[in-house]
Amino acid sequence: MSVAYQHAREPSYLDVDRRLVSWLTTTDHKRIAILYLLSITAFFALGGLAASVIRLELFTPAGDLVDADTYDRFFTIHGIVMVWFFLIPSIPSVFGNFLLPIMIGAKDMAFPRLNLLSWYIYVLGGLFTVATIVAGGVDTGWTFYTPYSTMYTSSAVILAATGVIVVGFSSVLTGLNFLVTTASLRAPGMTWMRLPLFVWAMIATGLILVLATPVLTSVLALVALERIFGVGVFDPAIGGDPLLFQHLFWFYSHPAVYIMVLPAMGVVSELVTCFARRRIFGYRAMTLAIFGIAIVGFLVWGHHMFVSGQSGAASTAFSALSFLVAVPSAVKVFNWVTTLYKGRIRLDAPMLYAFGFLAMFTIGGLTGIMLAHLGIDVHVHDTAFVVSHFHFIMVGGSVMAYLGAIHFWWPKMTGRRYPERPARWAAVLLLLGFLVTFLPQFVVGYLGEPRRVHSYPPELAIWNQISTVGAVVLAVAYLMPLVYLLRTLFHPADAGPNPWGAKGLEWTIPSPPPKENFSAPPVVEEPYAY
Amino acid sequence: MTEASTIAPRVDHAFLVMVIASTMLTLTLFALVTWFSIRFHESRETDRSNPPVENTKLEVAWTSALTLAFLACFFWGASVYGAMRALPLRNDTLRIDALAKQWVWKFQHPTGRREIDRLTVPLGRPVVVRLHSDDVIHSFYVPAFRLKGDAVPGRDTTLWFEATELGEFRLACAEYCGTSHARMEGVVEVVPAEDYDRWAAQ
Repeated sequence: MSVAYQHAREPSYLDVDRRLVSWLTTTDHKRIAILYLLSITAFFALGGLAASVIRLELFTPAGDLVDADTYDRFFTIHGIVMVWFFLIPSIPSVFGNFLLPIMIGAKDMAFPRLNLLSWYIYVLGGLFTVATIVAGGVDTGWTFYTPYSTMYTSSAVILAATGVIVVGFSSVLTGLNFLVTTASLRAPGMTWMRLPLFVWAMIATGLILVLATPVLTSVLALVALERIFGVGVFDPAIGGDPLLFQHLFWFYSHPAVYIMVLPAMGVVSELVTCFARRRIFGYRAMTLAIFGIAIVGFLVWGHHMFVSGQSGAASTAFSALSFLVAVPSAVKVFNWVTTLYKGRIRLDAPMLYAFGFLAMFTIGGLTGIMLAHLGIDVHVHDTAFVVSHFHFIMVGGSVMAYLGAIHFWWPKMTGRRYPERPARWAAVLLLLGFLVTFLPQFVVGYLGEPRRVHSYPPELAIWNQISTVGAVVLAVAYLMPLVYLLRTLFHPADAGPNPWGAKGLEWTIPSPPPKENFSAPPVVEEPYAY
Repeated sequence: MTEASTIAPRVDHAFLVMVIASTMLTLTLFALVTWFSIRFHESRETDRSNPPVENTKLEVAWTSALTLAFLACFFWGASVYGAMRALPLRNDTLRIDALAKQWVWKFQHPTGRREIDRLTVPLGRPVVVRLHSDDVIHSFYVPAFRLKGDAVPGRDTTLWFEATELGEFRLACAEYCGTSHARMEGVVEVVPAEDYDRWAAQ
C-alpha cells in the first residue's frame, strides 16, 4: 500500500505553498488547526507564567514577593487566559479543526472561510488581552463579580471584558462549523452511529458553544454598560442586583466547564480504544452520556451560589441536579475501564496520558460530588479546596488529554514520530507534579484557606510549600514535550500513514495529509473495528 | 481541626464518609486499570476471545446504583444544609448586626456595644448574624464553625451558629473583594455565657 501511494503522492497540506501569506489566507481546516496550535501554545505559556508567580508568592505565608494589587492581577490574567484563550479553544480548535472533517470523510469544514475568520477573531480577542496587561492589568478575578468589577475596581475591566466578548464570537463560529459540517458533509456510509466518539464530543461541545456563549457576551456587555454609563443592572446602589450577575455568568460558565472536558473525553475514547486494540465498550451508552452531560450541564449553574444569598429552595434543587450530572461522567469512566478488559494493551505515551486523565478526572469528579453536597460545600466554597477540584478536572483532565492528543496525532499532523522514552517520562512526571501541586490544596482548603489570597496563616505554610515544589515539577513536564516535539521537525517525515495501527479514517490517508484529505472516496467501517 | 460549633461535627462526619467512599472507589478503579494493563498487556498470551462490546444490563445496573448512591448523598447534604439555615427559635438567641466593608468587619450587639474585626459571643447560645455590605460582596467565614455566608450589598443575609468551645477562632473573608481581601480577617471569641452578659452590658 505504501508503495502504491508513494507514486500517486500529492504534496501534503504543509507543502502546497510554504509562503507566510498562504498560511495567513488559508481556508484549509488543517492549516487553521496549526495556526490555533501555535497561538494557544503562546497563551498557555503566558497563563503558565502567571501561575508560577502565584505559586511563588504562596511559598511563604506573608505577602512578600509582589504586592497585593500585582498578585490580584496575576491570578486574574491566569484565569482569563487559561479559560478563554487556552482551555476552551484547545482541543476543539486544534484537534476538532484538524480531525473532524477527516474523521467523517470530508474535504474540509462546511464553512472554511468562517473557520479562518474564527482564528482571526481569536487573535483579535488575544490582542485585547495583551492590551489589558499593557494597560496595567485587571484585578477582578476571571469571574468579574459585580459590583466590584463595575463600580469599585480601577483596573482595565473594559479591555479585558472586550477581549473575552470578542473571543466568544470565535467560539460560536467554531461550534457552528462543527454542527453543520457533521450534519451535512459525512461521507457515504458514515452513519450517525458510526461516528467516532471524538466527533460526538465535538457535536455536543458545538451545541454548548453556540447556546451558552451569547449569554456570556450579554452579561459582560452589561458589565461594560454599567461601568461606563452607570446603567443600574448589577449594582444595588443604582437599582441593580449582584446576584443577577452571578446567575447569568454561571449560566454560561458552568456549561463552559463541559466545553473544556467533553472534548477531552472524546480524545480519551480514541486513545483507549487504539492502545487496547479493541472496540469501545458501550458505544451507545457513551454517546448518551455525552448528551446527558451536555444537557444536564445547563441546569446546575446555581451550585456556584450555595452561600451567595440564593434561596434555600434553589440551592437544594441545584444540589440535586449537580449530583445527577455526575452520573453520566462516572458511567463514561466505567466504560473506559471495561474497554481495557480483554484488550491487547500497549502503554505508549498517549495511553499513559489517557490513564492520567482517568485517574485525575475520577478524583476531580469525586471531589465535585463533595462540593455538590450542600453541607460540605458551605464550608469549602471559595477555598483552595474548590481551586484544587477544578484544576483536577481542567489540568488533570483536559490538559492531560490535550497532551495525549498532541502525542497521538503528532505523526498525523507533522508526519514525524516523536521519541517514545522521553515522552513516557514527561507523562509520568506530569502526573506526579500535578498530584504534588494540587493534593495539598485540598488540605489547606478544608483547613480554611480562602482562594485568591495574597497571604495566609503561617500554620498552613507547609502545605503551600509542597504545592509550590510540585509546580516546579509540573513546569518541567510541560517543557519536555516542547523540546522533543520541536526537535522532530528537523528530521525527515518518517511516520507513514498509520504508525499506531489505529482505526479511523484519519489513519487511512498519508501523514501529513494532502490538502484535499482523500484522493479516493473513503471506505467507512464500523467505529473502532480493531 | 477544631470543631467549635454544633454544626461542625455533622459537616466533618459527612466529609469523612465521602472521602473514605471516594478513596475506595478511586483505588478500585486504579486497581482494575493496573490489573487489566498487566493481564491484557500485548506481550502476554491470554484468552482474548469475545471481548464484550455492549451490555445493557451492566450499564443500567451501574447507572442506577450510582444514581441511588448520589441521591442518598443529596438528601444527607440537604438535611445538614436545612439545619444550617433553619434559624433557631430559642428565647436566648443572640442577634448580632454585622457590616462588611473594604476591608473591615463591624459588629453591633443588642446592647449597643460595638466591635471591629472581633466578635465576642457566648458559649452554648444560638447566635444569629445579620450580614450587610456597604460596598462589594464579602463572605463571613469561620472555618472552625464550618460556616460561611456572603454579605451582599443591597440585601440582608442571615446565618446562625452555636459555639460549643471556648476560645478564639479565625474569621476570614472568603469572597474576593479587592486589594486587602486576604487581610480582611478577624477573630470570633467564644466566652462563657455569664461573662458575655457582663461584657455586653458594659
